[in-house]
Amino acid sequence: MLRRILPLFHRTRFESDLDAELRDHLEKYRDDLVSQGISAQEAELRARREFGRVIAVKEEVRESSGLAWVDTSARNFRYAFRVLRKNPAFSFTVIVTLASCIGANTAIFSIVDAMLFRPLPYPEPDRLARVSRLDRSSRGWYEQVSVNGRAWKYIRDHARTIDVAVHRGFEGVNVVAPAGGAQYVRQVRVSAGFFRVLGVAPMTGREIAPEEDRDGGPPVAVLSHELWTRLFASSAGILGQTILLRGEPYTVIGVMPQGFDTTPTAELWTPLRPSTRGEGGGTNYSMIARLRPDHSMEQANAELETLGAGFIAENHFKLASMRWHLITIQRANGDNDRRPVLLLWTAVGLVLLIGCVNIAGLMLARGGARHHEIATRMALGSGRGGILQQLLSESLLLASVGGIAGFALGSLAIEALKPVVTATLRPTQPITLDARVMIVTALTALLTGLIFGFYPALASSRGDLLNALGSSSRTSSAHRNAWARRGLVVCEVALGMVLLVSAGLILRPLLYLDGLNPGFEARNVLTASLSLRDARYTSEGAVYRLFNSSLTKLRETPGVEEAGIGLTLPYERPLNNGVRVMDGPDLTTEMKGTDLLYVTPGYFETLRFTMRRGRKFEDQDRAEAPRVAIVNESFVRQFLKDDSPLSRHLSLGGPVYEIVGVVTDVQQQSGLGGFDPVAPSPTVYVPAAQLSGKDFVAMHNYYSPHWVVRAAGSQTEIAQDMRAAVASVDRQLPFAEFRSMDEVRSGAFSRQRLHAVLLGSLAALALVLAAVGIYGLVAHSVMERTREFGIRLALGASRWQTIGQAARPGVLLTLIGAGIGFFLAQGAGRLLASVLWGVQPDDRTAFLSVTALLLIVAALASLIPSLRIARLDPATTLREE
Amino acid sequence: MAKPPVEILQGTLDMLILKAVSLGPLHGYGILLRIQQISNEAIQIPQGSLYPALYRLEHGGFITSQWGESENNRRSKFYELTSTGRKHLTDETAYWARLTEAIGDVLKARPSEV
Repeated sequence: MLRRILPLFHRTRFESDLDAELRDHLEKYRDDLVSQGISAQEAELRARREFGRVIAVKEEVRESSGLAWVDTSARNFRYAFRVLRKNPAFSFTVIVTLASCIGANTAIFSIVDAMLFRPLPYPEPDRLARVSRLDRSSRGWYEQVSVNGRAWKYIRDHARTIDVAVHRGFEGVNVVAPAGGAQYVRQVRVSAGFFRVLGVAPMTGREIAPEEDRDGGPPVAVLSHELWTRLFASSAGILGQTILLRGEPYTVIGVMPQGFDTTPTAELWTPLRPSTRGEGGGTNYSMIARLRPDHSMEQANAELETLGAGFIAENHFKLASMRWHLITIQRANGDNDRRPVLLLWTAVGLVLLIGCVNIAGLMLARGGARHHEIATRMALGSGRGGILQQLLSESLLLASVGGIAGFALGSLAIEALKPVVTATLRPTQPITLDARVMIVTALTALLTGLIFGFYPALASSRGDLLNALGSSSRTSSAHRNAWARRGLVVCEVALGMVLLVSAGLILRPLLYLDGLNPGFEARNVLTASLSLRDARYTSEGAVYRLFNSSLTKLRETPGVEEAGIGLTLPYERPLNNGVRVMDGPDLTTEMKGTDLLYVTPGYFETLRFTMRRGRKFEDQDRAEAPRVAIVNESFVRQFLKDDSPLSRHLSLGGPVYEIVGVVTDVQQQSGLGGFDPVAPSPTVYVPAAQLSGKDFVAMHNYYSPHWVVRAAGSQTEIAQDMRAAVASVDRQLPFAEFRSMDEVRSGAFSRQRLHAVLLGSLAALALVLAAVGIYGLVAHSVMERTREFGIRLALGASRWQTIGQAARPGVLLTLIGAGIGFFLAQGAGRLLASVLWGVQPDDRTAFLSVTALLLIVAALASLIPSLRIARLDPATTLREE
Repeated sequence: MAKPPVEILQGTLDMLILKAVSLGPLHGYGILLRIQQISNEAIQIPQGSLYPALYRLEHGGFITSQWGESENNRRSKFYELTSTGRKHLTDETAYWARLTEAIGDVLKARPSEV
């Protein structure tokens, strides 16, 4: 191998050495001849004559040194470059097609890879798994990747094939470092051994010990490298320091290595202290498991099967159909997004397919045009191999330029998508440009180019040279090409239709959601939440003081129009609570589900809810005053059908509330059933000032109250004002992220939006590619049939008639393609059904609008190249050829 | 008295070159001379065909080359046999011997022996 490559780098050296060697030979021979008595002049001539032609010898030497292919390739590439430069439209189209397909595939696969495939950054990730619980229901097996406290203890104490640990979901908490400064941090509570199971030891310190992981154990915390840097400026003496977590002191016992993260993402880990009651009574724990050495996944699953039976027996469960089993952690972590992400991947694969079809069509068109050239070259003695090599060079050149452009496009796309995708889908790993897929995509496209680039060469070498040379361009093989190209255009349109319909189906619900009346005014409102799950906020007095003082301070701030606080926001999910109507004709005897949230005076005003009846909350609605509530219109519709809500009384499980007002519905996520991502649902609003400390602790365990501020001016300034207002009461309460209400609104269906944007872009790309295909076909046939059209015009056909004739095939083929695509798209719609909402997979609007769009684009793509005919001069055309 | 020159057979040039350099490093012209000298001028190699053969053998790893000094202080390229080349030469020589013996037997055959 080295011997083959080395001469390439020493090319100049090789040539001069060869020169010197041959010269040396000639001189030696000449000297010998001279010494035999022949004159110097005569000797020189004879030496040269007997040696033979030096150039020919050199050429032979190069060939026997394995250098010939370099020369031929260089020549081929130079020629290819000239050919491609002479056909800029063709080259440009192929390169753009290649670049967009390679770019799109690389970008999308990079996301797919980060979400689903790239091994997690733990040692031996394939031996890591999650324990899931399968329950048989009437609709098959129902899988739940979580366990309750009892199951956890049972598996921990009995499993021999796996090492296990449990953890909970992330919680936002306030952390205060000794140096001061409060931070909002993502915390995950984990059991002892959690890091051991993951296989990553702390960089300094140790992980959580079993005695710390039980009730009453010492409060300890493990920090991420990032948090250590941020809060402690990477101080070396971190171990043993105390931080305040929710107002309680925790001792730092370890710092994880740089780049370490868990699913869910966290910066701080504290002991879980698993229980079998309270949160441990429900399936609230996620379990991770690592196969012990010398045990396989099958063995572990078999053991879990046995353990499951034992667990059922021990607890006398009726649920005899419960089963535990392992799913790899990779699979479990990406489970939520698996389907949509795989669908996206399929979609981008379709785009690649369309791109390949497009390139095939272009190559065929050009092959037809080059048939003559190739036949001529073969007639002049070019070998079939030589011509194949030449075509290969052209394809390679196109592929490399397209590949480089695709790489650039892909990187740009990823840079643009990264922030959105990371924020929306929270992939388990960073999104980076994936070289593997880029190469695979490039090779696919290259192969297409090669196969269809070779076609004319193979056709030409099949021996009908005379035919090819004799006729001008309308040979039988040109006809064959034309049919193949039409078929390709039909394919392209059909595939494009599938993508467009899918995008339409995904887009429809999004348009619906975007078009919903929010029920409030989002503009100019900034919001931020802060966690009150804090030892210092367990009494109502502390909460009242925080709310009142910060709001008073904010209202005094210049520029602030109105401010308020509520437990949750529109477009978010409120608390679900039981409610009972205590009087009137619709009196209920049992609790019914409703949404519930507390608000302060100013909340409705800031968000500009409209009061339908009665009054808003006022400052006098305090703890000692009679308890009051405001309900929304949905609540009235559902629970107070006699439509006289005011002065009715409600029970929310404790004290009795009197309804004093009715507000308009707003969009919100509701846990009360219904499959809409957001919708108005029955809601009770109560004044924050009438709740007890116990109420607050219960609510703040799961929810962080939101401050809302309506103000003109820059968001950063208002955010600063909000921080200052809270700091004036408590310096150790950090806000989580600041968002405008518009962001809250769009954030509610950011996933749907992202899917729609990505799929929509792919569909748009497919449409453009299909249009290019149709355009190319029509343009080519117009060019080929110029003479025919000239004759028609000369015989008196009108220009528009002729143009219509030229454009017709494009539209006809589109109709056929759309017809086939129609059926394919219905299949695709069924595949999509699982990610669709509020729209049928055969939604007529989506299908019809897409068909219309496709036909309009096809008509344009056919008409534009046909317009050339309008400028045709019959006389000139007929003289040509 | 030298016999009239013979044409060398296709494929035997490589073997002759290997044999020539097996006796010691030689430059191209020297190889030519040595073959002529050993064969008593019976074998005349067309000068131009020597070099492609030399480069082919070098490319195949049977010989290596090195620049050095020849008579009259001239810089010449010397070729030397590699161990691969030596083995190749032995194999080829044995094969050649078997081939010529077999062909000789065929040519010497008399009707009674058939």
